[in-house]
Amino acid sequence: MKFKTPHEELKKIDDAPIRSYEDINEKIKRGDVIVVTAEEMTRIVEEEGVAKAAKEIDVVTTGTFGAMCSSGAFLNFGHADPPIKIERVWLNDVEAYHGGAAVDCYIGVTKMSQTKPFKYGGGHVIEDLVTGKEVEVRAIGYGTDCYPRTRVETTITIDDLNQAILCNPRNAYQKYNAATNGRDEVIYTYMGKLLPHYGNVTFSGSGCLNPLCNDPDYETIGVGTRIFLGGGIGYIIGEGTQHNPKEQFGTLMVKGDLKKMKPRYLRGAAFTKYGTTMFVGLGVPIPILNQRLALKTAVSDEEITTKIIDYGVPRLQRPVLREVTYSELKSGKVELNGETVKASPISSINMAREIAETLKKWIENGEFFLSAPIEKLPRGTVFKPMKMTKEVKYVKMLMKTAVTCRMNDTIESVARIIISKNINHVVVVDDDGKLAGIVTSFDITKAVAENKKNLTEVITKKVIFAEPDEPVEVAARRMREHDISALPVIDAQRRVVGIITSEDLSGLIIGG
Amino acid sequence: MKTVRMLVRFNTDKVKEAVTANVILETKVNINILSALLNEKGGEMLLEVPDEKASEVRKAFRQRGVEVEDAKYVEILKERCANCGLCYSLCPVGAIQLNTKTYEINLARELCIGCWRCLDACPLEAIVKIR
Repeated sequence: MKFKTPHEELKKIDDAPIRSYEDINEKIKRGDVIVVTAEEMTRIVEEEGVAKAAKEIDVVTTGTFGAMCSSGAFLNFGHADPPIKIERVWLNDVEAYHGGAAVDCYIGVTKMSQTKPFKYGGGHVIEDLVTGKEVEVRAIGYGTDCYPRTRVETTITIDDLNQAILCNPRNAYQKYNAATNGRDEVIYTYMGKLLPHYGNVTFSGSGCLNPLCNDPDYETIGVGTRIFLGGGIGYIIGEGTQHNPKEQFGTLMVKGDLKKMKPRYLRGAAFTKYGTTMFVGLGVPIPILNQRLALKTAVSDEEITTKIIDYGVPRLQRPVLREVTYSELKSGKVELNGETVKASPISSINMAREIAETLKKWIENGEFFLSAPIEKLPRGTVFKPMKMTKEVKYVKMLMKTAVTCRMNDTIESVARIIISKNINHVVVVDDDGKLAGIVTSFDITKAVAENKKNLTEVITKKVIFAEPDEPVEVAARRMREHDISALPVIDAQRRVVGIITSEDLSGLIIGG
Repeated sequence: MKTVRMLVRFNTDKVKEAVTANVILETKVNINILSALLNEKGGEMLLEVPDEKASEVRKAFRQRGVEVEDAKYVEILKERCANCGLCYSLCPVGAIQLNTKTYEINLARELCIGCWRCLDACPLEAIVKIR
């Protein structure tokens, strides 16, 4: 039997408590606790029904292993002699945040090395520490009467630190958007490398193994829930930042002793042209306190849906292409615009499974006990966009009238236009006013130097352009990427409606 | 017929010229373009040519100022790979396979054409070039 409509099923089932946290921990102590992973639970409930599963199974384990940018660690170095009040500190050339007491710091995983940016970052420092490797520490201070020292350079391992506490403000998204790219170029995002023309899809989250998907109403998850974190024991310390329960985008804030974690479950990572982050392994045990929880932990990949979003659109509101189930995503192929496209997980389902299995073994072996949350995660909070007090400038607000010419114009006539209008770019249009090319003053100079006769020999036909409703920052980034100084602005019918140049943009910066 | 694979690199200037067409016309070799990753800034193409014609084709490209390298293939370092699967959807020839039962990544090296699309996509630097 399948539970396509969990709410209908929920009405039918018995709400009476079956066991308490104390009962479960007593069974763990005795060694006869029954633990299954979330994937196993889905199958068991399907085959045997909720009532029987709830009666027999004490705990369901979950797991996820994905890139979690909102992660980092608090470190305490102990005092130097003579002592220093650290003002700025670097670990393997990665700057750690220091706004607290003399020798505390927080190293965040997305902070990049100053000598190896985009290759090595805070996540790699944490992985190196957990591996037991030596890490170079460099710190400066301004010197005070009580902390006279102004510089420190030393080498430490994790054993030399007084505390190394992994403390992640936002981990384990309940689910996440799937990404694709409608542009005609490859883009590099935090969702990985996305091929042009919707050439692939990437998705994050482990679906039916995901911790919050197995307790979507946070009945057993909250402050104080003991969890698997980075191969060691951690705790949920509250809802994560951007916690968005109404959209089933809940998140967790977690902490744990880094010294007891394992490098297999904390991996420094680098996404090309995006930056560094860290793969974090996290698993939450769900106690089956009643039949309702047995049904919820039986959630299948077919029941968990997310949206495929076009990350090619560089705005907060990106177009949704379609709804998709985790079952389809995890099959490695999805249907998109009538075609079959390969779908890549970004978070390792293989590792998520290993984490759920490991947590299961810990509980079975009496090494891990369940804790009741002292406060459950909030269910009513909302996730708002940033309040913007300054107006965003759009291309249409800054663009100027484009000076145009035709493909069959002569080089001389274009040269005259450039001189008389004092411009550098002339946009080539066809009979309908549609974009056909661009020619620059440099192209004309080159044409004269090389004794070229026809305009068609010197114009650029594959033109990088802008659209009126794009923010100017997006247009500026495109100019920089392609190393060009102007973009024709075109409408949906490819008609030229203006031009935006780097001079217009620099005018914006200096307030001209 | 024995074939060799070679990688030709175009810089911003060369990409504007009809280099490949001219090489084909001049050498009359049936060059098979296995992959082409080019835009107006330049890029690279992976070619397959008959073994006995390889040196002629190489020379023809080099004469036109285009770099030629023997194609390399990739390897996935198991000890670094976390089986996330990010590389799988980038492979144009199905050489990188995702087992949807175990969720392990497998490289079928005989299928790899050395396009290197996957190379800069691995967040754990587990994919490396080999000869």
